[in-house]
Amino acid sequence: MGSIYAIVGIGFMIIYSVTRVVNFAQGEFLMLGGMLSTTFHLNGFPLGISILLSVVIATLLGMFFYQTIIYPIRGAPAFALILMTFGGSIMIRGIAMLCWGTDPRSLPYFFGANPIRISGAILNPQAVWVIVSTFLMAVGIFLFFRFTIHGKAFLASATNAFLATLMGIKTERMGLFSFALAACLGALAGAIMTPLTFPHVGIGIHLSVKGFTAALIGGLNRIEGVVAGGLALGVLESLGAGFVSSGYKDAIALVVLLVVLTFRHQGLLGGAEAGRV
Amino acid sequence: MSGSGLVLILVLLPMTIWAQALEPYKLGLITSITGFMAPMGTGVRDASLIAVDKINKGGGIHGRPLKLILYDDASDPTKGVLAIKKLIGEDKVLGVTGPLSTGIAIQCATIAEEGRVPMFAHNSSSWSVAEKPWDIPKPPTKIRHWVFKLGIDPIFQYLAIYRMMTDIRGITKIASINVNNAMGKAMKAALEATHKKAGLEGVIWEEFGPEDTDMTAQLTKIKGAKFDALIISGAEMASGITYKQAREMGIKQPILGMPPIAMVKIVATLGKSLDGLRVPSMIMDIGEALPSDEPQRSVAVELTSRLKTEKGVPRADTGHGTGWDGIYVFEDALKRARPDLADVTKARGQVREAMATIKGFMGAYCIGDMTKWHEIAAPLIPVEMRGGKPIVVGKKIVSTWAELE
Repeated sequence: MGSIYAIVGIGFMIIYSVTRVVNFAQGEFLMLGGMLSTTFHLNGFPLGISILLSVVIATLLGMFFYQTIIYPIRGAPAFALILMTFGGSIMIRGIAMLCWGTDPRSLPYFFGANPIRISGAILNPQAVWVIVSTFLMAVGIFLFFRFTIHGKAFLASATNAFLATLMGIKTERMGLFSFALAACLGALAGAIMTPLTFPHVGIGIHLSVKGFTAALIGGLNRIEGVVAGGLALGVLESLGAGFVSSGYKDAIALVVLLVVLTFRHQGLLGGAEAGRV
Repeated sequence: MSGSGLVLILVLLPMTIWAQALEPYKLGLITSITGFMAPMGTGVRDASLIAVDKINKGGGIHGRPLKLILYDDASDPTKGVLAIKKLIGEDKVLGVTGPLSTGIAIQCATIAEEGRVPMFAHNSSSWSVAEKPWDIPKPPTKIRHWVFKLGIDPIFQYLAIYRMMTDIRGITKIASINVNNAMGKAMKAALEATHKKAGLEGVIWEEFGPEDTDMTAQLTKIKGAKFDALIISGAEMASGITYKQAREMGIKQPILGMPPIAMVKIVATLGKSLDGLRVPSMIMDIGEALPSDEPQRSVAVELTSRLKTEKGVPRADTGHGTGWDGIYVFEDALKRARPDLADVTKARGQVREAMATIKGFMGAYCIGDMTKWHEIAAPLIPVEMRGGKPIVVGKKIVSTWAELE
């Protein structure tokens, strides 16, 4: 679960770093990824194609979401934009419920169901997939921001939108691009986690909250922080469920968040400077 | 988890022209259309609507149509309470069928009792008909005057599980893992109170959340304990995932689940991952695979085919059975009560009296007479999951509180 929180957290980070919007619809893109890919797969598409199609559709929806919900009120105070994303997430969930109903869905394991045994510990093969893909996504995003011209334009818009505009960067297009990227990663993660978590249309908000917590614990502006935050949250929850009580799982996450925010408001690994990625 | 407010869906069902002239009998339905109970709640809704439709197409009751007013409790007790208050105060219904979740049913039962309205709860635990906690596993003592329900208390379900364990043989030490919501806690209390009498020793007790998808921490602890069989107690998808992960982690002992784990929707999603699981299953979850001499088979088959043709539901399950029976107990009561609609308070009392004396009920879920504990027994059938399907492996088990008196 930690890796999934980390991916949601990365989505928050990408959008926040460019637009300063905390996008609470992020979890819904995971839900869409899961639901769309199962729907395509049930209708006879091969697994790979189903996932690809779901990612493409979710990416387009992410762009549509930005264009219709965020773009028209750009420049409004941050809380208004955040409220809009909340509203958008409820809308997406409502429409999804009309399309798919409320039943949980499933995909087969991607590569076999035989558990991997490493000296007594038992690992689910799909869990390995989730962890590996989180790592790949994180590294990919990191390299993208560091070494590509688009990534640098992203950072420039984040650091100072006005100066970036003067340099010829279209900051609004960067906003659109950030939503597309976040939706794409979210949907991919949603599809990959489906065989493990059996998504239904209601999972989005839960994931959003956990992913946001992960991002805040780690620091909303550093990718390694977000990944570490997500993994830490997953491990804490698991330990909490095992050693204290499963009822306190969510409480543990929030207590950790409160402690971190009280003593280190920029997150554990977050830099003091704004917009560093 | 659902942001939707109290959704009111007023359902005016097709009425025959003859019946249209008379004022309808109004019933309220509270169930979970959204939230974590939704997979079952939507089934309750569909089957209730089909039952009402069938009654109205057949001329209604005494020429009066049934009118069903439906509220979504969103799997949330607060919304359930608002709904039943509205049904009693504004909609002036003669009775309420639902809700599904034990936590919500207990809250609604208090309101029904205060408001003097007959209620037929769909939840499992008898905590909703009992006025206060009683000395489990003895039968509940103070029964609410106005509240009735399906007789499927967790204690009956465990009695069936113990019987299945005797068939497996050699089981003395049990491990238990249950969902940590109101229903799961009722289940755990029932298991704790009854297992010693059945000659069992509980060696480890764990819990999981209704929305959890990773139970490996708890299962690791269970795996380390010395036990002969594991019992999984819970209704949600989470209990199915628990079974799957237990097997993936290499737990080899027999695993038995409480009936809701074998609900058709969970089985359809998890498929062969549930193979090897033993469950005392409910009538509608077996459906057409029921033995042909089973008297409830024809009701189950009729409901299944109606759901297929009228609602496009591919597989009927216990949620559907619940909804169907929830309407038909009121049909039975209304038929005999002939309530006087001029005075709602009096009419509600008449329906309540008739409901308390139901005899020989034949539903898709429960069967027989209304007991003095205000329950109609729901039979359980031992099954084992094989190839993603329930296979009947034992004789039907019907339990009521009378067994424990």
